[in-house]
Amino acid sequence: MAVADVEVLQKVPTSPLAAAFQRAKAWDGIGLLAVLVLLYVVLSLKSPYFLTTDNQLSILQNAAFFGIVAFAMTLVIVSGEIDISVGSMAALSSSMLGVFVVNHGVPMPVAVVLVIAAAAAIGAGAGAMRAYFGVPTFIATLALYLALKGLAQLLTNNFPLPIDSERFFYWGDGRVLGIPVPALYLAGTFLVLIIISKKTVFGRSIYAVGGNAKAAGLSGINVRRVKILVMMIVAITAAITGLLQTALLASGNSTIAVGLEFDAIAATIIGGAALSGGKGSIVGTVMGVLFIAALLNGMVLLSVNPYAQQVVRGAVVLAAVLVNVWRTRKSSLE
Amino acid sequence: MDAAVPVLDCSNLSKSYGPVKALIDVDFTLQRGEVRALLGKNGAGKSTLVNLISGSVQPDDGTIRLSGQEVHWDGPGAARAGGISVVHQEFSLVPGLTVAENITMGRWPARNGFINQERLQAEAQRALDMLGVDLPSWQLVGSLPIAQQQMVEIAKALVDDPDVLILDEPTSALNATEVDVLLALIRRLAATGVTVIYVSHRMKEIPQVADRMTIMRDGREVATLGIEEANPERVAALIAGEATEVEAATFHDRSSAPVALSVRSLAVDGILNDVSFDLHQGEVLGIAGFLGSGRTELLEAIFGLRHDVSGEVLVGGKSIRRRKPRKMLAQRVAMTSEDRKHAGIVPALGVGENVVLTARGRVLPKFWLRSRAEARLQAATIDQLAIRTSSPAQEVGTLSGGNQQKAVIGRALAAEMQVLLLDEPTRGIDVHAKTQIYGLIRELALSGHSSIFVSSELEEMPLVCDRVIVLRAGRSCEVLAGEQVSAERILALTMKEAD
Repeated sequence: MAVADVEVLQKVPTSPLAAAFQRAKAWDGIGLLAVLVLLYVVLSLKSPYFLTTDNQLSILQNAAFFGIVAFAMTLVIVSGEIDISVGSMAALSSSMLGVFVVNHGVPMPVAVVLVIAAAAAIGAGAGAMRAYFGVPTFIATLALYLALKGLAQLLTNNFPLPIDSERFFYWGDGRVLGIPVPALYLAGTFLVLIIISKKTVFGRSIYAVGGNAKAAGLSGINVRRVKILVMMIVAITAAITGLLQTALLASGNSTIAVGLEFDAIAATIIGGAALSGGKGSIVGTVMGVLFIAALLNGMVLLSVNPYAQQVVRGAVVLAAVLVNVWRTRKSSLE
Repeated sequence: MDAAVPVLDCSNLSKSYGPVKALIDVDFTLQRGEVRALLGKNGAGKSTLVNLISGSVQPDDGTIRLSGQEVHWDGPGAARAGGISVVHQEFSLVPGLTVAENITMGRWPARNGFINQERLQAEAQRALDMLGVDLPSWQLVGSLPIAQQQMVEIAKALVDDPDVLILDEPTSALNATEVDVLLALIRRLAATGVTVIYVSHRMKEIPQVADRMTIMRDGREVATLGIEEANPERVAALIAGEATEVEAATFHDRSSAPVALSVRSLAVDGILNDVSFDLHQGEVLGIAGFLGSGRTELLEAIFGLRHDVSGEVLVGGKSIRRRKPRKMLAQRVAMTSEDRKHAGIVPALGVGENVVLTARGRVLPKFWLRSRAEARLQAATIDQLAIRTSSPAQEVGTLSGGNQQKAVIGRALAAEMQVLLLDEPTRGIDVHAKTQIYGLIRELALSGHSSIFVSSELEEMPLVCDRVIVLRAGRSCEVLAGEQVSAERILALTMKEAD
């Protein structure tokens, strides 16, 4: 009303192209991309088999088993929370599916829906504990880590429940146009979550809540809802991962997905997310996922001692965190 | 719109917090397009007035009219929607979101949950155009310099087309050039009809930006002047009020006593500029200056909390290089932080335990606890400072602010420190406790301790200090000693234009 037409001073016209260029220059992920390319060059020089289509597809298939969760974990970590119960959630999902289908004769599609709904409810519960009672998600999901694992073992007596369904196995081990089905799930999850994070009010609210919860709340963003939703989404992806593994193993199994939380969090951190919240991106996590998957694959191809592989994985995460901290400090000094 | 109707008209506003009358019968009227500076020392009622106008707090009495209509805000959101926006001193931005997303935060245009980027950009751009600045709206706020973040903050307040824009110390984080840009920008906004309330301490800026100024003291409006009738001396006198009768502490000229601590050409890029002084044994030296003048940074530089310092610090004539807190403590120099809760006490530990933290490994043995020696030291310190606690085991976090502050000072004394760097030791404690702290500092001076006393409450200076250094824009400008130390005088000097 009062402010209608204002003389605009200091207006500098910038073309979209120039803007895009500046954006690319400022992109955080450029360093990680370089490291990923370097890893590919080194591994393909060391092992002639590494760059073959078969091996690359197998990398993608293996990447799916933690990457789907990693994308959702990125949203959780950007919102300033964490979920360390995803491995147990996957194991519980697998066990529940086995019990429903094998012991109770529930039709497969119904069982799948039930399992995902249960996971969503548990995840939302952890989010609600955070939002309404101030229980840190680290503690809430630490409790779930134990409880869900125990529940899975209780349901199955810790024995695999063989599932007999050719159509179901196709999910874990099948191929579409030569591409492993899990890799397609990985790509699908990526697309859905990147659209959510970049294009929706909810997605941008995650960044606002993680970056400055107080300011977000004062600006009218529903902080509690955001926290509950991200915890629900990551639980759903954990359940999907459990189902994919069930299909691959052809049995409901309480011992699967051990260490899933590590790979998912590691991929997110390598992708540039800050555990303090507000910072991180799905694109960065894609590179983190590919980096871990290629590294694991490469170490197997080069027959690195399995114990040494674990040391390398730990060292990589530590290095990634150090680089992040160093970069943040540098940019805050500027 | 009728030009005769004031855009904001507050009459007889009053507000009490318990027994404290924060605002008494204040009238405050603003015309459209006016820039009004609001001045007063801490606790004068500026913030209360701003909070009432912006809906964060409801008045006990009195009315607020906006363009002639009486309004009752039930919260900041309502005031915002009604046309009053505030830019607070602390930033409320999200570093991981873009400039445009920050400006429009909480009201992102969307359909079916999907953000309409075009409309979002357009709305943000409209706010930036109003402000007349050109910022890359796609850039992440975290990657912008502070001055530009301040612009984003103001643009965020402009999204709702406010009639009244309140700026609380908007220049405290900016350098001189940035301040000029901001002031020009505020003038331009005012020319478009926005009314601005400009809360600031900086006398230099006010004539550049404001049409009139309102001065508050002790919860009352004491004067509203046109900018042409306001000269610094008159304004300083109005802010400070009549000189309060001071219980004259006995001051001593210590200039012949040995030097305990010297500072030579201390500088921190953009903050401190060539500061030098001597602190004598048994002397209390005050550092006066407004927020952003570099007071805290000066203490941090001396105590080794910063790594971007040039210049020299000498303790007992010996230059201390590569200063670190542990190194300074070894030289018997201690600092108490202005942030008592976070950098002073350990709230969950007992008073006694808090008191001996520094002493361990210095006065007390380093590894094994010697419970009898500790208990004796704890009891002696608590007794010496008259800390009111049920026992040394009582959690220090449960004590009053004044007693917490005594425990923090006690920690330095228990460790037999000789030089105390006290940053705002009386912040947030009641009047009675303040008097006790003043007395304590004077007593310590008599027993040979030297102190540097930093406070934003200038009227404390004459009660405590033998000498006062006035800091303006990171430079030590004047030194006042003995009789010359008066609150009015210090205030006039702190507000004087930088040469």
